[in-house]
Amino acid sequence: MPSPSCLLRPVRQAAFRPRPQVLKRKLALIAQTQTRLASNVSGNDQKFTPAPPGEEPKGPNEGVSHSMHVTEEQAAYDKIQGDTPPDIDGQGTPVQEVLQRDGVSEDKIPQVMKDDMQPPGSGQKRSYSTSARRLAHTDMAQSQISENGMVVGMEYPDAGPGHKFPLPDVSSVSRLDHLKRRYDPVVEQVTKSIMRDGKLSLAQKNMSTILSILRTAPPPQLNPAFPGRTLLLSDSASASTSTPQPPNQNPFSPVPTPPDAPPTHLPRSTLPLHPIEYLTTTIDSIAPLVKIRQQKGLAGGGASLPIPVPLGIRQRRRQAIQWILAAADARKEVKLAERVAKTLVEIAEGRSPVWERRGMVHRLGVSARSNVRSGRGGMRRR
Amino acid sequence: MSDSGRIGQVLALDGPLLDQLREAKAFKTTQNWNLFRTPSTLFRQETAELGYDIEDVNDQKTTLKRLIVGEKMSGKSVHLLQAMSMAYLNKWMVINVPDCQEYVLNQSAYAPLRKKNEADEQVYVQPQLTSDLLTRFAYSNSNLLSKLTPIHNHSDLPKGRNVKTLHDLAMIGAQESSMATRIWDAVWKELTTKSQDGKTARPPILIAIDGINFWMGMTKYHSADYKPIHAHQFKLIKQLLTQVFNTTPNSLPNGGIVLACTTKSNHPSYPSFDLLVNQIRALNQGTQRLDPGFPLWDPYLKEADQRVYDLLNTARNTQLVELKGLSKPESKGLLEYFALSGMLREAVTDNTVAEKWTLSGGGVVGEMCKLGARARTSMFATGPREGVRMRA
Repeated sequence: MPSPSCLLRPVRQAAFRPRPQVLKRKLALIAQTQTRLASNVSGNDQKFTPAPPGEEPKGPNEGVSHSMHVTEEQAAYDKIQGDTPPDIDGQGTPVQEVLQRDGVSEDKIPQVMKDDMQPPGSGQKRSYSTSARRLAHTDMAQSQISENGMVVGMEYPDAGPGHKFPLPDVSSVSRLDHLKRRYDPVVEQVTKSIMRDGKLSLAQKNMSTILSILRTAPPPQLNPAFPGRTLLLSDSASASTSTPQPPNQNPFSPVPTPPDAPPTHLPRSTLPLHPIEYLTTTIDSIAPLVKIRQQKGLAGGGASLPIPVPLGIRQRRRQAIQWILAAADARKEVKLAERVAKTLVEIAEGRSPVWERRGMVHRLGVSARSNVRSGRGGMRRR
Repeated sequence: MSDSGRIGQVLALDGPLLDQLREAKAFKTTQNWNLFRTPSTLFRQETAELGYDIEDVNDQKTTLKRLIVGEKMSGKSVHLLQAMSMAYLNKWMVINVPDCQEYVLNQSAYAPLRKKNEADEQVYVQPQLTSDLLTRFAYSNSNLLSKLTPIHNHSDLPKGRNVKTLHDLAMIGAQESSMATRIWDAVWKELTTKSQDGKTARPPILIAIDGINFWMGMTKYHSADYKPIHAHQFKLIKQLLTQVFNTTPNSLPNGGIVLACTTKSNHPSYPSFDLLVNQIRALNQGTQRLDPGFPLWDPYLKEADQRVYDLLNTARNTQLVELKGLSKPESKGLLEYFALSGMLREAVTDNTVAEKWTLSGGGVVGEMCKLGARARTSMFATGPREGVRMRA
C-alpha cells in the first residue's frame, strides 16, 4: 500500500516493477530450492557446487552449475513426485452406472437422466459414413410416401427430406414483395441499360413510355420471308388466355423448375395487352445462346481460335439489350423511348437486322463447336 | 347532356368535335390520350353541373364566371375540355388559352402601347401570342364564323382586304402577327355586340383559361428602364382577367361562361393569389368582407401584390369550383373503362375499386388513371437474384 506521500510523486515512479531488493530475495529462494533438489539426488553430490553462503544470490542459472542433462533432471523430479501421474479422471464412478448397479427404483431417477439412459445393448444407430454426399434418389427410395402425403420412414416426418422442422409457407410471399426486387427482372435490366449518368427516374420514365408504345402497337405478325425468325411463343390453339401457368411451386419437388422461362403460354394476338411479357418474349427470342471467345495463338500460325462459351440467362438478355439499343440508335425518331419501342416491334415481326447478328453468332458457334475443349484450364495435352 | 344519370359513365368524343378540340389545343401531351383509340372522358358530378350552367346560359343569356381550383391531377384541365366540348356541341364560340405560362416567360415578342396620359400605367401588347390566340379561335370556330358577317365598320384596318365574314377577319390576324392586336380588338368588339337575328346573330362565348395562377405576379419581361413588368400590364392578360373578375352583370352581352383554372404542377407561388382564392371561397359561402371570419392578409409576410389584392374588389360574382376526389361510383365507372379497354388486367370489384380509390389519394382522377394503366408484372415472374427460393 503506497504511502500518501507516494501519490504526490510523479507517475513514473509508480511501483509496477518490483524493487531490486524484492527481486534479489526471490532469486535467492529459487537458488535455494534448486540446491535442495540437487542434494536429494543420490550419487550426484560431487556434481553440485552450491553457492557458498554469504555471497550475493544470483539468478536461476547463475548460482548452480548445471552439469546434469535436462532428462536427468526430469527423471529426478519424477522420482520425487512418483512415476505415475495422479488419476484425476478416474476418481469416481458415473452416476448412471451407480444407479444401474444398485438397482435404484425409477421414480428416484430424474427425468433428464431417464431420457438419456439407454437400455443395455443399444449403441450408436447412426452409420459412421464419412461420405458427405448422399444421393437424393437413395433417400427417396428408402423413404415411402404415405397416403396423406407425409413421408414416412424418416426421422422427422413433419418436415421434408433433409429437414428437421416444417418449412415455412412461402406461397403467399412473392418476389414482388421484396423492396429491392419489386420490378420485373427484365424490365429492371432494360431500364438500367437505358440509364445514363445515374438518372434512374428518367430511365424509368422512358421505360414506361416504351411499354405504353408496345401496348398500343398491333400484334406482331410472322414474317413470311424469314420463317425462322419466330418469337418464343407456343402458337398452338390450345394455349389458354385466362390465367398463366405458373412454374412448379412445390418446394419439395426434385424436378428443377426453370425460373427464367419466357411466358410461352400467351397467344400472339394478345401480346400487346401484356407489354412486359411482350418485352420479355422479344428479348429472350433475340438473345444468343453462346458468345465466341477468341483464344490467342491456339489456331496455329499465330491466329486466334474461336471458342464458343455458353451464356447464362442474364448474360443472354444483356447481349440482346445491347444489340437492341445499338439498332435503336440507328433510327430516325427523336425520342429514345420511341426508337427502342419501334426496334422491339421490328424484332418481334422478324424484320430487323438484329436477327442476322444473332444468326451469325450461332453459326460461328456451331462451326467452332469442336474448340470447346481447347484452352480450357489445366495442362495442355501435347 | 346534363343528365345526372350519366354520372360514372365514360363518354367518347368523336366526329368533328375532335377536330375542333384539336385546333383549340384542348388536349395536352401529359394526359393519357395516346393509350386509347378514341379520346373519352369521365362524366362526373361537376360535368353535370357544367351542363346545367350551359342550359341556363342558353335560356337566359347570363354570364357565369367560374374559378376552378383543386389539387394536382384532380381533373381541372379535363374539366375545361369537357366545357369546351359542350360549348362546341351547343354551337357556341370558344376562346381557349391552353397555357398561361407562355404569356409571362419573355419568350414571345412584346411592345409598349402609346400612353394616352403621362400618369397612366404602361401597357404592353404581345403580337405573336395574340396571333396564336386568333389562330386557335379562327380554326376551331370556323363553321360558325364563316356564317357571321361583321356589323361594325372597322376603319383602322387597311383597305383592300376582302372581309366578308368574321372568319376572314380573324384569319387576317392569325396569319399576320403585326396586325393581330388590332384584329383581336375588332373581333372582340364584334363578339360582344348584342345579337340580332339572321347573319348578325352572335352566339354565347366560352372563355377557357388554363393556369391562371401564372398571371398573378411578375413576369420575366422588362421595361425600357429594365424593371420587371407585372402580368397585369399586358393588354391581353388584363382583358381576359377582367372577364373572370368583374361585377358587371352582363359582361358578355350574348351570354357565356368564363372558366379559369389553376395549375398545380410546376407552378409559381403567389401568396396574394392564394389569399384571393380563400377570400372568394369565403364570399361564396356568404361571409362578407367586414365579417370577423373573413381571410385577411398576414401582416408578417412580405408585401402583398396590390394588383392581385385589388381583384377582390371585383370578385363578388366569381364562383369557386373546387375539384375534389371522385366518388366510388364514378371511380368504378372509370376503372371499368380501363378494364374494358384492356389496360387494367384485374377484375373490377368493390374491393379493387376501394383499393384504387385509396391508393389514388381519395379518388384523385389523374392518379387513378395512372393506376388503371399501370403495366403490372406477373405474380410468377422470377429471375436471377430471386430472394425467395421457390424451388428445391
